[in-house]
Amino acid sequence: MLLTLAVIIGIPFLIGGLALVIPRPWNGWLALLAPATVIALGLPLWMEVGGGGEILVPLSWFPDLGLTADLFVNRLGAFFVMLIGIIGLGIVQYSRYYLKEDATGWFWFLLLSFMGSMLGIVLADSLLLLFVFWELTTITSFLLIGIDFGKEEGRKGALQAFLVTGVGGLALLVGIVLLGQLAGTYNLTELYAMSGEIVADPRHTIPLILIFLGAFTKSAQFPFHFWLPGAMAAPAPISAYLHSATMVKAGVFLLGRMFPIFSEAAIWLPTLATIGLITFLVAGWNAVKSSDLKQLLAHSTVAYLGVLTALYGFYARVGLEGELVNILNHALYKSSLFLLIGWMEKAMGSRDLAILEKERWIGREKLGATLIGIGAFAMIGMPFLLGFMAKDTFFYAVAEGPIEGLTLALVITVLASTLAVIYALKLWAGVFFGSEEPPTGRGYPRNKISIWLLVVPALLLLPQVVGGVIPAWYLGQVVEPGTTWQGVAFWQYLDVKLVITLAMLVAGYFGYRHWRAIAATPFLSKLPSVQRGGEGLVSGTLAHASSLSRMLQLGGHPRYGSIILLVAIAVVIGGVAFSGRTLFDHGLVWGPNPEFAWFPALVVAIAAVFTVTLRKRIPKAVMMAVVGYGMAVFYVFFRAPDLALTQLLVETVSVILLLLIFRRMPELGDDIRSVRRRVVHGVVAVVVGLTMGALAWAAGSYHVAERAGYEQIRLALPIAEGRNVVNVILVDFRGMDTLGEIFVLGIAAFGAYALFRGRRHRPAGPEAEEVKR
Amino acid sequence: MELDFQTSVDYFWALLPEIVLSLWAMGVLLADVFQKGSRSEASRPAIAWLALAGIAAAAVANVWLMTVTGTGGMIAVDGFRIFANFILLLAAALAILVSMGYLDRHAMNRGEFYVLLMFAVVGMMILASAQDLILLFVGLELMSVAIYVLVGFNRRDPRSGEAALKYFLLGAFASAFLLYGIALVFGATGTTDLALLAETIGTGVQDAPLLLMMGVGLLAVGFAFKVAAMPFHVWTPDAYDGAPTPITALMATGVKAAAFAALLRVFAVSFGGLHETWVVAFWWLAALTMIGANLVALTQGSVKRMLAYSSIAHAGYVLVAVVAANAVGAAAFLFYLLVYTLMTAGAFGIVIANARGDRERVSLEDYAGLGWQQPVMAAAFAIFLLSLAGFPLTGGFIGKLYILRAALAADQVPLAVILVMASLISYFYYLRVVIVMYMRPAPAADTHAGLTASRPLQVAVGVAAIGVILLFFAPAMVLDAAQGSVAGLFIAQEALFGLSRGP
Amino acid sequence: MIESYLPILILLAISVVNAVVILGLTYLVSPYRPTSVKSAPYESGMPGLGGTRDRFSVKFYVVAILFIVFDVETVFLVPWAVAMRDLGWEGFAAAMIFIFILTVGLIYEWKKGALEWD
Repeated sequence: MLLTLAVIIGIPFLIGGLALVIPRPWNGWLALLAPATVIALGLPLWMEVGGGGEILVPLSWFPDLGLTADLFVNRLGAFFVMLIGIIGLGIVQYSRYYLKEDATGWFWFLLLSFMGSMLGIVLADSLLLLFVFWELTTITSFLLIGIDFGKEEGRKGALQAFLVTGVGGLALLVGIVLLGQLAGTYNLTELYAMSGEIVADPRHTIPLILIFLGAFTKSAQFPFHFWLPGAMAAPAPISAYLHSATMVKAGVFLLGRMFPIFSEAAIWLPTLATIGLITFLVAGWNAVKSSDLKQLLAHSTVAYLGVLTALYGFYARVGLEGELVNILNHALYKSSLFLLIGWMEKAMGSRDLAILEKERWIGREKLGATLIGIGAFAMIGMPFLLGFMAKDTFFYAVAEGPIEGLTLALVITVLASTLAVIYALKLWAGVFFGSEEPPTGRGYPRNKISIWLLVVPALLLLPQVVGGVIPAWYLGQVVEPGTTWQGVAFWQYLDVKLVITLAMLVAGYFGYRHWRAIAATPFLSKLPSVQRGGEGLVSGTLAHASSLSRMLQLGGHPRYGSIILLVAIAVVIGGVAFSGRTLFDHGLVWGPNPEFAWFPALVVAIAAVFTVTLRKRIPKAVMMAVVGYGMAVFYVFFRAPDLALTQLLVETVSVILLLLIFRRMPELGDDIRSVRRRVVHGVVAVVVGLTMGALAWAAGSYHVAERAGYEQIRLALPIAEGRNVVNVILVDFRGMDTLGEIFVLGIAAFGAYALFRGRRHRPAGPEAEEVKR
Repeated sequence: MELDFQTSVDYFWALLPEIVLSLWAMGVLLADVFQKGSRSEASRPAIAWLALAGIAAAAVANVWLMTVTGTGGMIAVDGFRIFANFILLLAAALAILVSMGYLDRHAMNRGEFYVLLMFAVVGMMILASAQDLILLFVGLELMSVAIYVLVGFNRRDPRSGEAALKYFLLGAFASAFLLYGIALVFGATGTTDLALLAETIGTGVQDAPLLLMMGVGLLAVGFAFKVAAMPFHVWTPDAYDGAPTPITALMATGVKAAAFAALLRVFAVSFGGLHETWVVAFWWLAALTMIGANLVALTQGSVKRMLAYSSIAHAGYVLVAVVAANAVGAAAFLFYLLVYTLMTAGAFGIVIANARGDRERVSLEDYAGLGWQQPVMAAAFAIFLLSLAGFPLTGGFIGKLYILRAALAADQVPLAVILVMASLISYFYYLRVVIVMYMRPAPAADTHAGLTASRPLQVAVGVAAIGVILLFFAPAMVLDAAQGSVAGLFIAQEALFGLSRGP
Repeated sequence: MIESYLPILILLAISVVNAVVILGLTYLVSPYRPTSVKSAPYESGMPGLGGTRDRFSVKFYVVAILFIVFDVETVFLVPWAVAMRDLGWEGFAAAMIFIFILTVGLIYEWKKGALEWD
């Protein structure tokens, strides 16, 4: 069984890879093999589990992290395998004739990888593995939508689709990880077993919402519904495959996977019903407004996805069968309609209703008109088509659903279904019976169009008709092999519901006759657009990002330094504030002579201010010396005479050296910084200085590390026979050191003296000559 | 072998990889000056290979170190160090490989480049394994000084000099903060030994003096600078942009990894008892870094600069693992550093390869149509970018998943959400490059013909790409090692980094 | 108390006297007959050219760095030599490693031409 499943998932990838290296047209032939294999292997699988069995194939990946690659087939999964395979076969065949030389190895690679990823989603047991394939479909579909890389429109649509589904993907990931954290496993089969415990735990809401987000973005549910029509720049077969049959269904599939875990959750039904029905209505309205037929189909796809989502809310009433009938119905008619729009573009030169309705196409394209008619009627839900059963099931689920008296839901459903009638009629009657005038023959392309562009949609529509004519047997085979479909027969009741249905059709027809007027209604056309909101969000983010980068990236290191210093200080101050304690918890030790210490402190502070503010070098140096001398006084107060001595000497010598050097240097120029910047720098300096000073002050009140000092005090008398420990340290313990220090300082002092003396003799040298000149 | 550090000989064994590398670097230094005829002559290619052999020798010594246990010294002998050393040596090897052609093209093929690089790696290794704050500082400075020089190595390029100066000046701040922090910690506890610190501090924020916490805070600032976490990252874009690209790669990988290793060791081992406080600081650093860096990266027109911001953003992700402060987090930390090193070094390798002569083509437009004219190169770049974005089929996915799990296990839900939002923003700028490569036509049919990817660079990029992919399909090997490595580290803080495995 | 500072004073005196004696001796012993040539600024035996704010050749810095390196070496090695017997072989090895590293640096500089002026 592992082999079967591995082949099902792997073969599209394998053949896709081969298609990269095999030249045209052989790679097209080869590509047919992938969905064919999937069907051949999927059929026995469906027979086996279609009745309710389950197959679990454990596969190790990294169990310690909860990463398993277990595979899992049940009814839902096997159904999707077949769906992906059958529609995939049609798409591949259609693409070979539709794209012709545009069907490069790269295209086949992407298309088949996408197919493989979809199969991975529906066969994964581990939610993490599911997520991996989920993201793979995001990438491959992104590349497929934008495959026509010359078109700016295609790129934009691809990016938008990618971003929206990307957001959802990440939400899904967090949801999965949270769920795994909650349940201790990522495997669906194990999660199913503990669904009661999970739902009983109130923490299940957040992962569930996140998983909803993932499903809603992928299935283009309100308010994320705008990406799907935007992604319609792709060639017809790609749109047909991605946006009708498979990728957008991944979200619905995910809901199906989650159903056994969360169906009892409090938010399950309200969320799905609300979002699904809103989507149904909003997208239906958008479809009514659309003139571009492909856009119309895209909006209608979104609308139907709303139905499928809502149906999962009402699932308990109609069961998996109802859901499967609807999924099948939509996949069949919508993919064929997309393919037929592709044919229409080639055969009739346009897909814009405004252009097409000028001619009476019915006279010329009878076969196409028939096929599109079947598709459109399936969309409406006319009897003797599978669409009828599907719509019937949905109405039943809403009307007789678990929430009694939910009139609003029914009203929305009726309203949205009326809209569906309008746009289905636009698609069919609008195109083929558009004009009263006789055909002009203008703009009629004489291209030779492959018959396959009609045959493939016809084959895909065939089950619609079969399913409509002999529903009981047919649906029995499809939704549960070997049984007969009992179904639910809403239409059987000859009461007010039938009246509503008929009224819907009539209203739909009148709506179709006046759709332009309806679409132009001022009140309705001004409705806020989510897409504009999304675009505004993106451009707003970008604008903020660039102002942020301008702020942070100005290039001058004074600014960089200020940022670093200020934040560091903020950390310190914030730390103190956060701890709610004082830094001076060892008491406020202001040195051993607190009554005098304020004076040198004041002097140091004033001198420091002057050091910075004075504009001449020599006064600056003098003020620096004052700071240094002030420090020396401090050292005395802190009973460190040796340090004070050294400080005095160093300060003296360095001041002398600085003075001598500064005398020969040009004066400082004016401060070129603006006043504002100077103030900022000043504030930074003051804040940093105060904080660091406070830290040093606090550090002074700690007496932890005195071991070295005690040791020296202990040893002073016995070893050096001195009672003044400082002297002992200076002269005995560190005698050589002290001698060296003094010696160096002495030489430096004489050097300074020599510099002074040297100046007196300067006029004698040739340098002086130069000065004179 | 069992080391107790009673005699200096023990230090010789414990420091064997560092000693081998130092000696080798000196040998390379001498070999370089002796093989040259005249002083201005370029170095021979053999010098680079010799340097690479030195890295390999250090790696061998590091393998041997696995058989050694030791406690009580100034240098740690544990799995964490060995794992970190491997990451650092890997970063160094990749940097050397991508340097080879680069130095010739920019007419700066000097043996000193490799020697300084090796000394920098010695510094990194010491930084990552120091068991004493003073030694840690020595390692940091050894690394930093060598890197300052390397950043300004391209003397003809004023931007290189500017980068070096900025890095040096601001790096001095960082060192000062770190040193002040060490002083305060020492002042408050009377020791700089990491293990003794842990003992002295104990577990309980209430008893810790505030001065100690200030020291911890300043240490955090110093580390944040070195790992380039926002807002201490300000030097990064300029330094990364101006530095010779192989050094940018080394800074983004090795320097960052070493600083992170030291950070984790210091904060988890010594200050584990105070983690309630520092986790708050790192929480903010991580959040700011992830949001800010990703937002700014959005606006970058230069791919090199975008990668600089991306490396800042990734520091934020790693900080999430630090904040998580659990066993999953510590292992995620090591795993992520490894993946990050591979993908970042690889991405910079592509930036080096996409050049003609000494002109690097770093603007986004320079990548238009690369996917069709240089399929292998573009595919490798796409792998690195997708991995940086955290997409499945790459190690970046496993790494991010691991961090995410660590964060959620630690109940850091807001941080996890920020991580996810930040990743989302990052999709935009990583994918933009992919789009440009594959979906925008090149200006001319031969725009990307004859790009200068040297053979060693190809090897480096290939190894990195395969590594990134392998870490997705077979993460077990490395994850096991990572988990094993951190197991020995946190004995003192078993409660904090509760060493249970699995979900 | 005061007398305990005596050793410091003695130390101070020795160093001051030392410096005074060295400079004083030269003052006393040397004849003082300045000429314009003798009073000219001494610039490596050459007549001074131009002002003192000139740029210096980078070679001076190399020499300065060399000086500092060996200066530091001395600072380390003198105390080591004093205490060598107490430090034993371990200390010996440490010092040898130190000298070895410096030697490598010296050989490098030598081959690099830092010791040659041109």
